[in-house]
Amino acid sequence: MSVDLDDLVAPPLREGFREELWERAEQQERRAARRWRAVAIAALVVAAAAISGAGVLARGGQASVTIDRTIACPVPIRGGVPVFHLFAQARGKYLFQGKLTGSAAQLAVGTTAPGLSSREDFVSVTSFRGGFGIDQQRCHAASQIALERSGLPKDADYLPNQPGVGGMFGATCLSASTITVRLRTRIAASGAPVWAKLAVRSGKKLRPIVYVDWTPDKVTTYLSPDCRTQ
Amino acid sequence: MEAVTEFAGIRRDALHAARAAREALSPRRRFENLLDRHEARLRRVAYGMLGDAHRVDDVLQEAFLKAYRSLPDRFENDRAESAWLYRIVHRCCLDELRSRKRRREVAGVIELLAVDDDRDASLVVAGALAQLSEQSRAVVLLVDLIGLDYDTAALVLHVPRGTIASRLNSAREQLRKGLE
Repeated sequence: MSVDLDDLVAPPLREGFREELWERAEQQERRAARRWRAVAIAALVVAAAAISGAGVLARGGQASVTIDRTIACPVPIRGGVPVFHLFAQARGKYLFQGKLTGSAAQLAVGTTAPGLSSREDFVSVTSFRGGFGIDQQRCHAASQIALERSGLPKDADYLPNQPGVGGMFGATCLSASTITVRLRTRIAASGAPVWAKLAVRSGKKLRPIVYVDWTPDKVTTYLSPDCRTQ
Repeated sequence: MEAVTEFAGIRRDALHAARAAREALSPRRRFENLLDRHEARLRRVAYGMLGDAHRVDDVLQEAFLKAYRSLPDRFENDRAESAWLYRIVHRCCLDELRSRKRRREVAGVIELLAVDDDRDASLVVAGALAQLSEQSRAVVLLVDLIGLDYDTAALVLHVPRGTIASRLNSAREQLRKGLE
């Protein structure tokens, strides 16, 4: 018998092959549509929240709002141990090029590059319009922690025209590799924060490290011995 | 001479018109048209590659779903269309063969059938193809069985044209011995 390649005959087509194909294609399209719908709804919710938040922060004439966030942030290693910084000061005035210039009150927890050449805040509140920010790249939402001093000893009250905690370098605090930060702040109709309370806890055991009661005119800090202000 | 040129022009216009009409259809209709034109040959290629009649429909269905999901709006020409579709089917056949190896299945059903029943020419051919490597099988199926030119086969298999020629030579020789 002489055979060659042309003798190859494919098996007969399964009954309902095309119908099955289109049914599967439609199922996949429905699944994809559901996924896209879910993504679109999530995006819409995020956009609506961002717009309403931005509107509250950026536009005057709106009602004031209270923002309460708890986040967990990774603390970078400096000199072999995890270190973060706390910056807190009341409003003030200082001489700049011979002129008396206004200085905003601020409250921030974050990190600094070696040599303190730059600051990267996990969370910050500054007493001007839109002066509220959270680092959503490095930090993520966490379970709420208590917003109280939790036995921390009082460090000091800082009043207007005085240097803040730790002067220009802030307080330097040792911690575990992750800290949990809760910030509760009131944003006035003008878009500027008018008061804030901040608590920082360290590691999985949530050991209290920092508590701050902040207004632009008075800042009270409570710090654990792991924080240095020099 | 003038008449020939004119005829060529009319034929070219007709081909362009036919392609434009195909592209104006909905994706589903376009894909149906595509399958109508290629399915029979694709089944033979898939059968030749897999050597297992029971898996041809499943593998082709997977390939067609993938193709439908990524169906381009238009193809540059008919060769690009064929190359695109055959490449997807070829990749799906390779995936199936690899997963079969992972499952440590015994040799394809076809090899056993081919030994037992040499009266069926189709089974004999499939059995001989099963003796070739995957690469040799693919090139001989694309060029000798369904008549793709070397350039299109090179596009399908993602290899240079020269590789197609050399693989084809050795594959033909092996197949000839297998069919003797």
